[in-house]
Amino acid sequence: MLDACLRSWPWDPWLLASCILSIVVYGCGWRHLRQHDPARWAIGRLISFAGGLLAIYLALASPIEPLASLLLQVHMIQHLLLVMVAPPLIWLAAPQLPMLWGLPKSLRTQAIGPWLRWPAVRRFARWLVHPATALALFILSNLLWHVPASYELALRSPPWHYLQHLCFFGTGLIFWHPVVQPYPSRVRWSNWLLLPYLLLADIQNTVLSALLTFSSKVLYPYYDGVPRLGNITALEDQATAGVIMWVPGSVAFLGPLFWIGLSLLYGSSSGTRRTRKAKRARIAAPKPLPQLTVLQNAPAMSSSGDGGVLLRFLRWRHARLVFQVPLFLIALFVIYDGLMGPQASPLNLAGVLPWIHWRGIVVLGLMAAGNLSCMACPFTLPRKMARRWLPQGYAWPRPLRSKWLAVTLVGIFLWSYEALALWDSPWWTASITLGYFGAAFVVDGFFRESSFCKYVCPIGQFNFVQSLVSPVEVAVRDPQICTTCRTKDCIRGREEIPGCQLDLFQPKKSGNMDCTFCLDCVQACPHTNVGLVAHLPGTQLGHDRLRSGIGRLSARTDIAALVLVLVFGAFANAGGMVRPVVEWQQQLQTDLGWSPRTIITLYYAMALLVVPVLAAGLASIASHPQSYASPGYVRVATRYAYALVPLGFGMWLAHYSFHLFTSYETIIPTTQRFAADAGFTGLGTPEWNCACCAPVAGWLLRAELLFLDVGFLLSLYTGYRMASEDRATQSQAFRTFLPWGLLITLLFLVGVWLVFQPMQMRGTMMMDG
Amino acid sequence: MRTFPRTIFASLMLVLVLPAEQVCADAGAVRASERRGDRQITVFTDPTPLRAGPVDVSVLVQDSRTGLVTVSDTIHVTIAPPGETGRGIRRLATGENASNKLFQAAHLEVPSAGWWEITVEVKGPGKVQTPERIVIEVDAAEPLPPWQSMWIWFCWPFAAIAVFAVFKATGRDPRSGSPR
Repeated sequence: MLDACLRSWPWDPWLLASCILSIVVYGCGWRHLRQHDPARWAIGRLISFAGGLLAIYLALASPIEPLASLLLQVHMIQHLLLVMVAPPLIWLAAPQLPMLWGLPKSLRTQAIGPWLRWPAVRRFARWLVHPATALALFILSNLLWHVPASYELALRSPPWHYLQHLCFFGTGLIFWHPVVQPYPSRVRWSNWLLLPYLLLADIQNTVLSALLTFSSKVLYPYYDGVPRLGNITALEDQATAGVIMWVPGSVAFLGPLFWIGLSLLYGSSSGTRRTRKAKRARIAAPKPLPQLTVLQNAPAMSSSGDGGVLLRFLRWRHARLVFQVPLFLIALFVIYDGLMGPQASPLNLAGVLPWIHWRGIVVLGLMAAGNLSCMACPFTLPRKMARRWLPQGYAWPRPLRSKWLAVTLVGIFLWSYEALALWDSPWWTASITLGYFGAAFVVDGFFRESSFCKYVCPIGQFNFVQSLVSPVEVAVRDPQICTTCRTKDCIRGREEIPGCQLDLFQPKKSGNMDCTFCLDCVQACPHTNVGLVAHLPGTQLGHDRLRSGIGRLSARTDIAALVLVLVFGAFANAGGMVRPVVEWQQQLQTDLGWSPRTIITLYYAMALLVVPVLAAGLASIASHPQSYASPGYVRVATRYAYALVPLGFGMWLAHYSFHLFTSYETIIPTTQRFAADAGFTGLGTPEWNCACCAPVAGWLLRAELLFLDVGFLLSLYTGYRMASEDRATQSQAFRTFLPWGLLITLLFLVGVWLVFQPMQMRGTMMMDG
Repeated sequence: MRTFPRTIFASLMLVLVLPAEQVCADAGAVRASERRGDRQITVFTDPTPLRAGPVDVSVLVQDSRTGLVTVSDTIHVTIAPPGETGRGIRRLATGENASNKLFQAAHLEVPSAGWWEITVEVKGPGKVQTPERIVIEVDAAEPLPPWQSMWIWFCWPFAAIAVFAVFKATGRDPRSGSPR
């Protein structure tokens, strides 16, 4: 029984990830601060913070959690950990400064900093940790949650149980703040106030625990109904819980009370020790102490040396090949199997790999890093051969030097995916892949400067647009170095290494548009000054400064059109697979007597052409009152269309990750079948039950909604920033932004509706059982 | 460049965490607790109230004299329409399916709303005799539309927008901190 108890660790990935992320952020900030003031930021702080997190984890994800529903005494231990142990340990770690310093600079200065400086937030925080407020909240929370009705509610309903834990932990943090007074908070009241503060808290704790200990009836009937472990009666269990609350609870209150009392009466000897230590440390490391105000505008933690293993790898001449060669081989298998293998998509590599796995991995890569898909693109591998054999001396025709060709190709691709059921035809998939190799070979064989990537490739255009909201871009690490650079190798090239083939001059580059992550500039820069740089996703979308190789985004109607096609295409593509839309299309076929292909053509003409033009046009007209000096409706529509990119990406992410996570196992039997057909039986006989789609898990639905949520907020914020930049006053900015905000909200609601609809599981087998 | 690993780390954590499924049942509501021979058998079902769709049935077997838990019994759970005992969907209840390893749990799918019969068969290790059997009738409600249980996941952005609106209404520029 004991063994079973000890093995009962509930798997809570959100909690585990939050704890790990917190300790990593704290650790980074603590390490930085320790370099400036080792005495203040002693190792004890780090241990204390880790201890606080461990207490939370033990309370919520150890055997305590499952046993708490059977034994009140265990439930009491859980609450004590959340109220009495975790909060003081966390405050002893003085987490405010380390947590701020541990965050990426952009997040600290652009997102968190302004909120922390907001007077209302500061006033509210001061009010919250005032002893009178803190004590009132602490006692109120304790009393309310120990009332039988509310305690029962928490025991029977998981959401209320979460709320109870949140209240206990939250009020615990608030209560212990005035007692611990973590650095750099300033005390605005006499420390003598803490004596009645802790005494009153102990009195309420004593009253409650005495009530539990000496009650002659079971206060929480829930525990009367559950099986009694080890024949402990519910009343004995309740009395033990009361004692646990009483004794350790009182120690937690009275211990600090005596400590503070003695310190006030006789002075703090530890304080003197700390001062001496601090003096010694300052002599040893005379660096200035970081101030809270400095944090807002502090430079990013500067890179030093050669930039670490990652940059060294990226600068390796063959770094890209590491990704390209495996993908090239996979592409060859897909082509072979698509042309020669069975023509049923769940059985064929060409029916599974590109439409389930590759698309999902591409969008997840774009979300987690950047344009990794173009970096690993296998279609550009034969380019070197093409350059050797073909003239490659022509410039790309001037009339085609825009994204209009790509817009058309993207539209055709989205239409043909549905109209020709590409996902259900391994032969078509293989032929398109082969055609891609041919097109890249011919275009790059005759024309200079990666014309295929820049002007033709629809997949590349998808990646360019979506990577505008990626957290990483290829950029210069220190702009100062570029001002003194005379050779400009990042664009001109150096020795065998070509410069940027897409005309992106690094010092003037902003965002990932047209960047294939080919690493040429990284390798060409003799100063090791170009690398992968992190920034807040979407921040590059808001401004309208000149961008190298692109110009101003507000002047690029072709790119805006590409954005609109891809944003509305995200919703149309997902919509084409959900039951209500499919039924509606079938109804139209019956009513009008048109062929399915005609209906699909009409659907895509509306979704990719009519609706985007109407929506952007109306929003542009509504946000363009004549009283403002504006450059024209088309220019306004072009400018604000980019605000839709994050939401569109959220929809692609939700859609493709759905297919990836419900159908990822399809690769197993398909690979086994392919290997067996090729004469290699080492992988075993195909397990075709793996080719069935898995049921949609709750976490997946939540993840899809989360992707949409983040895209929605980022789109709104980007639109608002654009309007704030364009208009003189806040009210003008709001009026300009409002129509676009409404359009974004409408699209978000459509996305939410789509997520909740039953979706076709394409590329999988439908089996019973 | 130094900030890069942290951002990537955060993103990767998100990517790694999202697929992780909380598969284990955490007991739920007590449906029956009966003494059979030298055993006290308690059956729990989750969710509460019971609805059509995925359901967890957890079973706790105790020695009726000492109250100590037994985890070595073989437990089968069957769900069937009333009157068709033992002829529906049958699953083995295991400790792996339960987050509380004192229990043995089985994941089942209640096909539709209405009355259903859940049969729990408990057989001791190595015993040849007939297994102890508990039959309970449950009324499964209509499944909730997913949006009703997930409204918070798509409504929270509106709360964030409201906070931002209040922030802007105070007349402060978020970047400079100066009044506009």
